[in-house]
Amino acid sequence: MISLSVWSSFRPGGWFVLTVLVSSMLSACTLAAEPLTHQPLPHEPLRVAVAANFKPVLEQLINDSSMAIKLSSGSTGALYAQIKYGAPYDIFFAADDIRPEKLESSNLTRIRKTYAYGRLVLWIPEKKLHTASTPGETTLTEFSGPIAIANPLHAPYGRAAKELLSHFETNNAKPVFGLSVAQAFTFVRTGNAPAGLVGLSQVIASSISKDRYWLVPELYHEPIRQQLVVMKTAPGSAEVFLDFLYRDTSRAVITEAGYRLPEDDH
Amino acid sequence: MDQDLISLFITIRLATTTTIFLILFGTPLAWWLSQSRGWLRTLIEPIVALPIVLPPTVVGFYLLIAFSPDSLPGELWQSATGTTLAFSFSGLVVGSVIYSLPFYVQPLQVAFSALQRELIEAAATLGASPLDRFISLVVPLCRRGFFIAICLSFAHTVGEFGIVLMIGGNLPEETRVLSIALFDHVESLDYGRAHLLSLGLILFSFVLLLVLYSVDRRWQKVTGVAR
Repeated sequence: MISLSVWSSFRPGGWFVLTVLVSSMLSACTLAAEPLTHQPLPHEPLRVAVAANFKPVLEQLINDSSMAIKLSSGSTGALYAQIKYGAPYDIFFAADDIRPEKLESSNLTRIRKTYAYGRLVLWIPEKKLHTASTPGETTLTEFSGPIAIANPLHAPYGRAAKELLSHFETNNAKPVFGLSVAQAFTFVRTGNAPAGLVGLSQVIASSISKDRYWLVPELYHEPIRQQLVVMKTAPGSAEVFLDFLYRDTSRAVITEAGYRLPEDDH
Repeated sequence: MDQDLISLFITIRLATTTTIFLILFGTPLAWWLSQSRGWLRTLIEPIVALPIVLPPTVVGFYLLIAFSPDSLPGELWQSATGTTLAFSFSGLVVGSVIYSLPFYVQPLQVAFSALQRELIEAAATLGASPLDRFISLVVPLCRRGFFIAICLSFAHTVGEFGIVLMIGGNLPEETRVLSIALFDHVESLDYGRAHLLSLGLILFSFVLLLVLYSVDRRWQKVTGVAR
Protein backbone atom coordinates (compact mmCIF):
# COMPACT_ATOMS: atom_id res chain seq x y z
CA MET A 1 0.00 0.00 0.00
CA ILE A 2 3.09 2.17 0.28
CA SER A 3 3.01 2.28 -3.48
CA LEU A 4 -0.48 3.77 -3.41
CA SER A 5 0.62 6.60 -1.17
CA VAL A 6 3.62 7.27 -3.37
CA TRP A 7 1.38 7.59 -6.41
CA SER A 8 -1.39 9.45 -4.70
CA SER A 9 0.99 12.26 -3.88
CA PHE A 10 0.94 13.28 -7.50
CA ARG A 11 -1.97 11.45 -9.00
CA PRO A 12 -5.57 12.61 -8.86
CA GLY A 13 -6.71 8.99 -8.95
CA GLY A 14 -5.14 8.49 -5.53
CA TRP A 15 -8.07 10.26 -3.93
CA PHE A 16 -10.42 7.79 -5.51
CA VAL A 17 -8.43 4.87 -4.07
CA LEU A 18 -8.49 6.51 -0.64
CA THR A 19 -12.23 7.07 -0.81
CA VAL A 20 -12.82 3.45 -1.73
CA LEU A 21 -10.58 2.29 1.12
CA VAL A 22 -12.26 4.49 3.69
CA SER A 23 -15.78 3.60 2.63
CA SER A 24 -14.99 -0.13 2.62
CA MET A 25 -13.52 0.22 6.12
CA LEU A 26 -16.68 1.95 7.28
CA SER A 27 -18.91 -0.76 5.87
CA ALA A 28 -16.69 -3.41 7.48
CA CYS A 29 -17.30 -1.74 10.86
CA THR A 30 -21.06 -1.84 10.36
CA LEU A 31 -20.88 -5.51 9.45
CA ALA A 32 -18.76 -6.34 12.48
CA ALA A 33 -21.25 -4.62 14.75
CA GLU A 34 -24.22 -6.59 13.45
CA PRO A 35 -23.87 -9.93 15.31
CA LEU A 36 -24.27 -8.07 18.63
CA THR A 37 -27.96 -7.60 17.91
CA HIS A 38 -28.47 -11.40 17.77
CA GLN A 39 -29.50 -13.39 20.84
CA PRO A 40 -26.58 -15.30 22.39
CA LEU A 41 -26.84 -19.07 21.98
CA PRO A 42 -28.10 -21.00 25.01
CA HIS A 43 -25.22 -23.52 24.75
CA GLU A 44 -21.84 -22.54 23.47
CA PRO A 45 -20.82 -24.90 20.65
CA LEU A 46 -17.58 -26.88 20.95
CA ARG A 47 -14.70 -25.22 19.16
CA VAL A 48 -12.65 -27.74 17.22
CA ALA A 49 -9.48 -27.16 15.21
CA VAL A 50 -8.48 -29.78 12.67
CA ALA A 51 -5.50 -30.40 10.41
CA ALA A 52 -6.66 -29.85 6.85
CA ASN A 53 -6.17 -33.46 5.73
CA PHE A 54 -8.68 -34.80 8.28
CA LYS A 55 -11.24 -32.02 7.84
CA PRO A 56 -13.62 -33.79 5.41
CA VAL A 57 -13.81 -36.87 7.69
CA LEU A 58 -14.39 -34.80 10.79
CA GLU A 59 -17.10 -32.80 9.02
CA GLN A 60 -18.96 -36.00 8.30
CA LEU A 61 -18.52 -37.26 11.87
CA ILE A 62 -19.75 -33.96 13.30
CA ASN A 63 -22.72 -34.17 11.01
CA ASP A 64 -23.47 -37.73 12.23
CA SER A 65 -23.10 -36.73 15.88
CA SER A 66 -25.55 -33.81 15.48
CA MET A 67 -23.61 -31.95 18.15
CA ALA A 68 -23.10 -28.18 17.99
CA ILE A 69 -19.50 -27.82 16.87
CA LYS A 70 -17.63 -24.94 15.28
CA LEU A 71 -14.86 -26.29 13.07
CA SER A 72 -11.70 -24.45 12.01
CA SER A 73 -9.04 -25.99 9.81
CA GLY A 74 -5.49 -25.17 8.84
CA SER A 75 -2.02 -26.62 8.87
CA THR A 76 -0.97 -28.37 12.08
CA GLY A 77 1.89 -25.92 12.60
CA ALA A 78 -0.29 -22.85 12.15
CA LEU A 79 -3.02 -24.19 14.44
CA TYR A 80 -0.43 -25.17 17.05
CA ALA A 81 1.01 -21.65 17.07
CA GLN A 82 -2.49 -20.17 17.37
CA ILE A 83 -3.37 -22.42 20.30
CA LYS A 84 -0.09 -21.70 22.03
CA TYR A 85 -0.85 -18.00 21.80
CA GLY A 86 -4.35 -18.35 23.18
CA ALA A 87 -6.68 -19.33 20.33
CA PRO A 88 -9.90 -20.55 21.98
CA TYR A 89 -10.17 -24.16 20.77
CA ASP A 90 -11.51 -27.02 22.87
CA ILE A 91 -10.22 -29.97 20.82
CA PHE A 92 -7.31 -29.99 18.39
CA PHE A 93 -6.98 -32.76 15.80
CA ALA A 94 -3.34 -32.58 14.68
CA ALA A 95 -1.83 -34.39 11.69
CA ASP A 96 1.11 -35.57 13.80
CA ASP A 97 1.99 -36.40 17.40
CA ILE A 98 4.75 -33.81 17.86
CA ARG A 99 2.54 -30.77 18.28
CA PRO A 100 0.08 -32.53 20.64
CA GLU A 101 3.00 -33.71 22.78
CA LYS A 102 4.34 -30.16 22.95
CA LEU A 103 0.98 -28.81 24.03
CA GLU A 104 0.73 -31.51 26.65
CA SER A 105 4.16 -30.72 28.06
CA SER A 106 3.18 -27.05 28.23
CA ASN A 107 0.39 -28.18 30.57
CA LEU A 108 -2.39 -26.90 28.34
CA THR A 109 -4.25 -30.15 27.78
CA ARG A 110 -6.15 -32.77 29.76
CA ILE A 111 -6.32 -35.60 27.18
CA ARG A 112 -3.96 -36.70 24.42
CA LYS A 113 -4.98 -39.62 22.20
CA THR A 114 -4.18 -41.15 18.83
CA TYR A 115 -7.24 -41.01 16.60
CA ALA A 116 -5.86 -42.35 13.31
CA TYR A 117 -2.78 -43.36 11.36
CA GLY A 118 -2.23 -41.79 7.96
CA ARG A 119 -1.31 -44.10 5.07
CA LEU A 120 1.10 -43.14 2.34
CA VAL A 121 0.56 -44.02 -1.33
CA LEU A 122 2.68 -43.69 -4.45
CA TRP A 123 0.34 -42.18 -7.01
CA ILE A 124 1.13 -42.08 -10.71
CA PRO A 125 -1.69 -40.88 -12.97
CA GLU A 126 -2.32 -43.17 -15.90
CA LYS A 127 -0.95 -41.12 -18.78
CA LYS A 128 2.37 -40.58 -17.00
CA LEU A 129 3.03 -44.27 -16.59
CA HIS A 130 5.00 -45.76 -19.43
CA THR A 131 4.00 -49.28 -18.60
CA ALA A 132 0.35 -50.04 -18.13
CA SER A 133 0.96 -51.83 -14.85
CA THR A 134 -0.12 -50.73 -11.42
CA PRO A 135 2.55 -48.80 -9.49
CA GLY A 136 4.49 -50.84 -6.98
CA GLU A 137 7.80 -51.12 -5.24
CA THR A 138 9.77 -51.48 -8.49
CA THR A 139 8.02 -48.44 -9.98
CA LEU A 140 9.45 -46.43 -7.14
CA THR A 141 12.97 -47.87 -7.32
CA GLU A 142 13.11 -47.33 -11.09
CA PHE A 143 11.43 -43.95 -11.04
CA SER A 144 13.22 -40.89 -12.36
CA GLY A 145 11.90 -37.34 -12.52
CA PRO A 146 10.14 -34.97 -10.17
CA ILE A 147 8.11 -36.60 -7.43
CA ALA A 148 5.80 -34.43 -5.34
CA ILE A 149 5.98 -34.87 -1.57
CA ALA A 150 4.89 -32.77 1.38
CA ASN A 151 7.55 -30.73 3.14
CA PRO A 152 9.40 -33.20 5.43
CA LEU A 153 10.34 -30.38 7.81
CA HIS A 154 6.85 -29.94 9.15
CA ALA A 155 4.39 -32.22 7.36
CA PRO A 156 4.13 -35.79 8.69
CA TYR A 157 3.35 -37.26 5.26
CA GLY A 158 6.45 -35.50 3.98
CA ARG A 159 8.58 -37.04 6.69
CA ALA A 160 7.28 -40.50 5.85
CA ALA A 161 7.83 -39.91 2.13
CA LYS A 162 11.40 -38.84 2.74
CA GLU A 163 12.06 -41.94 4.85
CA LEU A 164 10.64 -44.10 2.07
CA LEU A 165 12.78 -42.44 -0.61
CA SER A 166 15.97 -42.78 1.42
CA HIS A 167 15.11 -46.39 2.24
CA PHE A 168 15.10 -47.27 -1.47
CA GLU A 169 17.98 -44.91 -2.28
CA THR A 170 15.98 -43.53 -5.18
CA ASN A 171 18.63 -41.21 -6.55
CA ASN A 172 16.82 -40.42 -9.77
CA ALA A 173 13.60 -39.33 -8.12
CA LYS A 174 13.85 -35.60 -7.52
CA PRO A 175 11.50 -34.58 -4.74
CA VAL A 176 9.61 -31.31 -5.10
CA PHE A 177 8.07 -30.01 -1.93
CA GLY A 178 4.52 -28.95 -1.36
CA LEU A 179 3.74 -26.96 1.72
CA SER A 180 1.36 -29.70 2.78
CA VAL A 181 0.37 -33.09 1.47
CA ALA A 182 -2.62 -31.33 -0.13
CA GLN A 183 -0.28 -29.19 -2.20
CA ALA A 184 1.81 -32.22 -3.17
CA PHE A 185 -1.44 -33.77 -4.41
CA THR A 186 -2.22 -30.62 -6.42
CA PHE A 187 1.21 -30.76 -8.09
CA VAL A 188 0.38 -34.22 -9.42
CA ARG A 189 -3.27 -33.49 -10.19
CA THR A 190 -2.36 -30.45 -12.34
CA GLY A 191 0.22 -32.51 -14.22
CA ASN A 192 3.24 -30.53 -13.04
CA ALA A 193 4.72 -33.56 -11.29
CA PRO A 194 4.38 -37.00 -12.92
CA ALA A 195 4.20 -38.78 -9.57
CA GLY A 196 3.60 -38.08 -5.93
CA LEU A 197 3.78 -39.60 -2.47
CA VAL A 198 0.47 -38.52 -1.00
CA GLY A 199 -2.16 -39.65 1.47
CA LEU A 200 -4.44 -42.64 0.91
CA SER A 201 -7.29 -40.44 2.13
CA GLN A 202 -6.64 -38.03 -0.73
CA VAL A 203 -6.71 -40.56 -3.54
CA ILE A 204 -9.86 -42.10 -2.03
CA ALA A 205 -11.55 -38.69 -1.69
CA SER A 206 -10.71 -37.94 -5.33
CA SER A 207 -12.04 -41.33 -6.47
CA ILE A 208 -8.76 -42.31 -8.07
CA SER A 209 -8.78 -45.83 -9.42
CA LYS A 210 -7.05 -48.40 -7.23
CA ASP A 211 -4.70 -49.51 -10.00
CA ARG A 212 -3.12 -46.05 -10.19
CA TYR A 213 -1.52 -46.07 -6.76
CA TRP A 214 0.57 -48.26 -4.51
CA LEU A 215 -0.27 -48.43 -0.82
CA VAL A 216 3.16 -48.11 0.80
CA PRO A 217 3.66 -50.74 3.53
CA GLU A 218 4.10 -49.06 6.89
CA LEU A 219 7.35 -50.91 7.56
CA TYR A 220 9.17 -48.43 5.29
CA HIS A 221 8.50 -45.38 7.44
CA GLU A 222 7.68 -44.31 10.95
CA PRO A 223 3.91 -44.45 11.43
CA ILE A 224 2.04 -41.25 10.60
CA ARG A 225 0.44 -41.03 13.99
CA GLN A 226 -2.30 -38.41 14.17
CA GLN A 227 -3.17 -37.32 17.68
CA LEU A 228 -5.79 -35.13 19.25
CA VAL A 229 -5.70 -33.12 22.43
CA VAL A 230 -8.54 -31.85 24.61
CA MET A 231 -7.62 -28.51 26.12
CA LYS A 232 -7.82 -27.98 29.87
CA THR A 233 -10.37 -25.21 29.41
CA ALA A 234 -12.73 -27.33 27.27
CA PRO A 235 -16.31 -27.96 28.48
CA GLY A 236 -17.45 -31.49 29.37
CA SER A 237 -19.11 -31.91 25.99
CA ALA A 238 -15.61 -32.46 24.57
CA GLU A 239 -15.53 -35.92 26.18
CA VAL A 240 -19.02 -36.62 24.86
CA PHE A 241 -17.76 -35.99 21.34
CA LEU A 242 -14.69 -38.20 21.92
CA ASP A 243 -16.97 -41.05 23.07
CA PHE A 244 -18.85 -40.66 19.84
CA LEU A 245 -15.60 -40.60 17.86
CA TYR A 246 -14.47 -43.97 19.23
CA ARG A 247 -17.76 -45.75 18.51
CA ASP A 248 -17.71 -48.51 15.88
CA THR A 249 -19.81 -46.52 13.43
CA SER A 250 -17.45 -43.56 13.62
CA ARG A 251 -14.41 -45.80 13.35
CA ALA A 252 -15.84 -47.31 10.18
CA VAL A 253 -16.15 -43.82 8.67
CA ILE A 254 -12.48 -43.11 9.48
CA THR A 255 -11.29 -46.41 7.97
CA GLU A 256 -13.29 -45.93 4.79
CA ALA A 257 -11.75 -42.50 4.37
CA GLY A 258 -8.28 -44.06 4.13
CA TYR A 259 -6.86 -44.10 7.64
CA ARG A 260 -5.76 -46.96 9.87
CA LEU A 261 -7.22 -47.01 13.35
CA PRO A 262 -5.17 -47.32 16.50
CA GLU A 263 -5.47 -50.92 17.83
CA ASP A 264 -5.72 -49.86 21.44
CA ASP A 265 -7.38 -46.67 22.52
CA HIS A 266 -4.12 -44.92 23.18
CA MET B 1 26.94 -22.72 3.02
CA ASP B 2 24.14 -21.75 5.34
CA GLN B 3 20.75 -22.50 3.83
CA ASP B 4 19.36 -19.09 4.75
CA LEU B 5 22.28 -17.39 3.03
CA ILE B 6 21.56 -19.40 -0.12
CA SER B 7 17.91 -18.31 0.13
CA LEU B 8 19.10 -14.70 0.38
CA PHE B 9 21.11 -15.06 -2.83
CA ILE B 10 18.18 -16.68 -4.64
CA THR B 11 15.92 -13.84 -3.50
CA ILE B 12 18.33 -11.14 -4.71
CA ARG B 13 18.84 -12.97 -7.99
CA LEU B 14 15.09 -13.32 -8.49
CA ALA B 15 14.37 -9.66 -7.68
CA THR B 16 17.17 -8.47 -9.96
CA THR B 17 16.18 -10.71 -12.88
CA THR B 18 12.53 -9.75 -12.49
CA THR B 19 13.36 -6.03 -12.42
CA ILE B 20 15.52 -6.34 -15.55
CA PHE B 21 12.68 -8.08 -17.41
CA LEU B 22 10.28 -5.40 -16.20
CA ILE B 23 12.59 -2.63 -17.46
CA LEU B 24 12.76 -4.36 -20.85
CA PHE B 25 9.06 -5.12 -21.27
CA GLY B 26 7.36 -2.83 -18.78
CA THR B 27 8.90 0.40 -20.10
CA PRO B 28 7.44 0.14 -23.62
CA LEU B 29 4.13 -0.95 -22.09
CA ALA B 30 4.07 2.04 -19.74
CA TRP B 31 4.93 4.35 -22.62
CA TRP B 32 2.19 2.93 -24.79
CA LEU B 33 -0.33 3.21 -21.94
CA SER B 34 0.65 6.85 -21.38
CA GLN B 35 0.33 7.82 -25.06
CA SER B 36 -2.51 5.69 -26.39
CA ARG B 37 -6.09 6.90 -26.16
CA GLY B 38 -7.78 3.98 -27.88
CA TRP B 39 -10.21 1.34 -26.62
CA LEU B 40 -7.38 -1.18 -26.33
CA ARG B 41 -5.76 0.93 -23.61
CA THR B 42 -9.06 1.03 -21.72
CA LEU B 43 -8.91 -2.77 -21.77
CA ILE B 44 -5.18 -3.28 -21.05
CA GLU B 45 -4.89 -0.76 -18.20
CA PRO B 46 -7.07 -2.68 -15.72
CA ILE B 47 -5.45 -5.97 -16.76
CA VAL B 48 -2.03 -4.58 -15.83
CA ALA B 49 -3.43 -3.46 -12.45
CA LEU B 50 -5.10 -6.82 -11.70
CA PRO B 51 -2.21 -8.28 -9.63
CA ILE B 52 -2.65 -5.41 -7.11
CA VAL B 53 -6.13 -6.52 -6.18
CA LEU B 54 -6.01 -10.27 -6.87
CA PRO B 55 -4.86 -12.64 -4.13
CA PRO B 56 -1.50 -14.15 -5.13
CA THR B 57 -3.17 -17.53 -4.83
CA VAL B 58 -5.31 -16.78 -7.90
CA VAL B 59 -2.24 -15.99 -10.00
CA GLY B 60 -0.35 -18.95 -8.49
CA PHE B 61 -3.17 -21.39 -9.15
CA TYR B 62 -3.53 -20.43 -12.82
CA LEU B 63 0.22 -20.33 -13.35
CA LEU B 64 0.41 -23.87 -11.96
CA ILE B 65 -2.20 -24.96 -14.46
CA ALA B 66 -0.51 -23.05 -17.30
CA PHE B 67 2.90 -24.53 -16.43
CA SER B 68 1.61 -28.10 -16.66
CA PRO B 69 3.01 -30.00 -19.66
CA ASP B 70 -0.64 -30.85 -20.42
CA SER B 71 -1.41 -27.21 -21.23
CA LEU B 72 -0.22 -25.27 -24.27
CA PRO B 73 2.21 -22.80 -22.59
CA GLY B 74 3.75 -25.60 -20.51
CA GLU B 75 4.03 -27.84 -23.57
CA LEU B 76 5.70 -25.10 -25.64
CA TRP B 77 8.20 -24.39 -22.87
CA GLN B 78 8.98 -28.06 -22.45
CA SER B 79 9.57 -28.64 -26.15
CA ALA B 80 11.80 -25.54 -26.29
CA THR B 81 13.89 -26.14 -23.18
CA GLY B 82 13.28 -29.76 -22.20
CA THR B 83 12.36 -28.74 -18.66
CA THR B 84 9.16 -27.78 -16.88
CA LEU B 85 8.43 -24.29 -15.62
CA ALA B 86 6.99 -25.36 -12.30
CA PHE B 87 9.58 -25.89 -9.55
CA SER B 88 12.21 -23.90 -11.46
CA PHE B 89 13.85 -20.51 -11.11
CA SER B 90 12.56 -19.53 -14.56
CA GLY B 91 9.04 -20.29 -13.40
CA LEU B 92 9.49 -17.97 -10.45
CA VAL B 93 10.71 -15.21 -12.79
CA VAL B 94 7.58 -15.61 -14.92
CA GLY B 95 5.38 -15.41 -11.82
CA SER B 96 7.25 -12.45 -10.37
CA VAL B 97 7.17 -10.44 -13.59
CA ILE B 98 3.39 -10.83 -13.73
CA TYR B 99 2.96 -10.12 -10.03
CA SER B 100 5.21 -7.03 -9.93
CA LEU B 101 4.12 -5.64 -13.32
CA PRO B 102 1.74 -2.94 -11.97
CA PHE B 103 4.34 -1.83 -9.44
CA TYR B 104 6.69 -1.08 -12.30
CA VAL B 105 4.28 0.14 -14.96
CA GLN B 106 2.02 2.43 -12.95
CA PRO B 107 4.57 4.89 -11.49
CA LEU B 108 6.29 5.05 -14.87
CA GLN B 109 3.04 5.60 -16.73
CA VAL B 110 2.23 8.51 -14.44
CA ALA B 111 5.67 10.03 -15.07
CA PHE B 112 5.33 9.61 -18.85
CA SER B 113 1.88 11.19 -18.85
CA ALA B 114 3.21 14.27 -17.08
CA LEU B 115 5.90 14.87 -19.73
CA GLN B 116 5.62 18.09 -21.68
CA ARG B 117 5.01 17.01 -25.25
CA GLU B 118 6.44 20.27 -26.61
CA LEU B 119 9.92 19.30 -25.42
CA ILE B 120 9.86 16.02 -27.29
CA GLU B 121 8.37 17.61 -30.38
CA ALA B 122 11.06 20.27 -30.28
CA ALA B 123 13.75 17.60 -30.12
CA ALA B 124 12.13 15.84 -33.05
CA THR B 125 12.21 19.01 -35.17
CA LEU B 126 15.90 19.34 -34.33
CA GLY B 127 16.42 15.91 -35.92
CA ALA B 128 16.70 13.61 -32.89
CA SER B 129 15.73 10.02 -33.62
CA PRO B 130 12.97 8.39 -31.51
CA LEU B 131 15.52 6.30 -29.59
CA ASP B 132 17.73 9.35 -29.03
CA ARG B 133 14.71 11.34 -27.83
CA PHE B 134 13.81 8.58 -25.40
CA ILE B 135 17.29 8.06 -23.97
CA SER B 136 18.50 11.66 -23.76
CA LEU B 137 15.21 13.36 -23.01
CA VAL B 138 12.50 11.05 -21.62
CA VAL B 139 14.70 8.96 -19.33
CA PRO B 140 16.39 11.91 -17.54
CA LEU B 141 13.12 13.84 -17.29
CA CYS B 142 11.31 10.81 -15.86
CA ARG B 143 14.16 9.59 -13.67
CA ARG B 144 11.97 9.96 -10.59
CA GLY B 145 9.34 7.68 -12.14
CA PHE B 146 12.01 5.14 -13.16
CA PHE B 147 13.54 5.24 -9.70
CA ILE B 148 10.22 4.62 -7.92
CA ALA B 149 9.27 1.92 -10.43
CA ILE B 150 12.55 0.03 -10.10
CA CYS B 151 12.64 0.25 -6.30
CA LEU B 152 9.02 -0.83 -5.91
CA SER B 153 9.21 -3.78 -8.28
CA PHE B 154 12.46 -4.99 -6.70
CA ALA B 155 11.05 -4.68 -3.18
CA HIS B 156 7.73 -6.21 -4.16
CA THR B 157 9.50 -9.24 -5.63
CA VAL B 158 11.56 -9.67 -2.46
CA GLY B 159 8.30 -9.59 -0.50
CA GLU B 160 6.56 -12.13 -2.70
CA PHE B 161 5.25 -15.25 -1.01
CA GLY B 162 1.95 -16.63 -2.23
CA ILE B 163 2.85 -17.31 -5.85
CA VAL B 164 6.26 -18.78 -5.01
CA LEU B 165 4.60 -21.02 -2.45
CA MET B 166 2.24 -22.37 -5.09
CA ILE B 167 4.59 -22.84 -8.06
CA GLY B 168 8.06 -23.09 -6.49
CA GLY B 169 8.15 -26.53 -4.92
CA ASN B 170 10.43 -25.21 -2.13
CA LEU B 171 13.65 -26.51 -3.66
CA PRO B 172 16.82 -25.57 -1.80
CA GLU B 173 19.29 -23.72 -4.02
CA GLU B 174 16.64 -23.19 -6.68
CA THR B 175 13.28 -21.86 -5.56
CA ARG B 176 13.47 -21.49 -1.77
CA VAL B 177 13.39 -17.71 -1.45
CA LEU B 178 13.64 -15.90 1.89
CA SER B 179 9.89 -15.63 2.50
CA ILE B 180 9.54 -19.40 2.03
CA ALA B 181 12.54 -20.16 4.25
CA LEU B 182 10.98 -17.92 6.90
CA PHE B 183 7.68 -19.77 6.62
CA ASP B 184 9.51 -23.10 7.03
CA HIS B 185 11.18 -21.85 10.21
CA VAL B 186 7.86 -20.75 11.68
CA GLU B 187 6.17 -24.03 10.74
CA SER B 188 8.97 -26.11 12.22
CA LEU B 189 8.93 -23.93 15.36
CA ASP B 190 12.45 -22.60 14.81
CA TYR B 191 11.47 -19.14 16.00
CA GLY B 192 15.08 -17.98 16.45
CA ARG B 193 15.88 -18.21 12.75
CA ALA B 194 12.42 -16.90 11.92
CA HIS B 195 13.17 -13.75 13.93
CA LEU B 196 16.51 -13.37 12.19
CA LEU B 197 14.95 -13.45 8.72
CA SER B 198 11.92 -11.36 9.70
CA LEU B 199 13.98 -8.62 11.29
CA GLY B 200 16.35 -8.67 8.33
CA LEU B 201 13.47 -8.23 5.90
CA ILE B 202 11.95 -5.42 7.99
CA LEU B 203 15.30 -3.64 8.10
CA PHE B 204 15.84 -4.06 4.36
CA SER B 205 12.36 -2.79 3.49
CA PHE B 206 12.68 0.14 5.87
CA VAL B 207 16.04 1.24 4.48
CA LEU B 208 14.80 0.88 0.91
CA LEU B 209 11.72 3.01 1.58
CA LEU B 210 13.79 5.53 3.52
CA VAL B 211 16.10 5.93 0.54
CA LEU B 212 13.13 6.02 -1.83
CA TYR B 213 11.41 8.83 0.03
CA SER B 214 14.51 10.93 0.68
CA VAL B 215 15.83 10.71 -2.88
CA ASP B 216 12.34 11.46 -4.12
CA ARG B 217 12.10 14.57 -1.93
CA ARG B 218 15.49 15.82 -3.05
CA TRP B 219 14.59 15.46 -6.71
CA GLN B 220 11.32 17.24 -6.15
CA LYS B 221 13.25 20.16 -4.65
CA VAL B 222 15.74 20.23 -7.53
CA THR B 223 13.20 20.12 -10.32
CA GLY B 224 10.50 21.97 -8.47
CA VAL B 225 7.84 19.79 -10.06
CA ALA B 226 6.38 16.48 -9.13
CA ARG B 227 7.48 14.36 -12.01
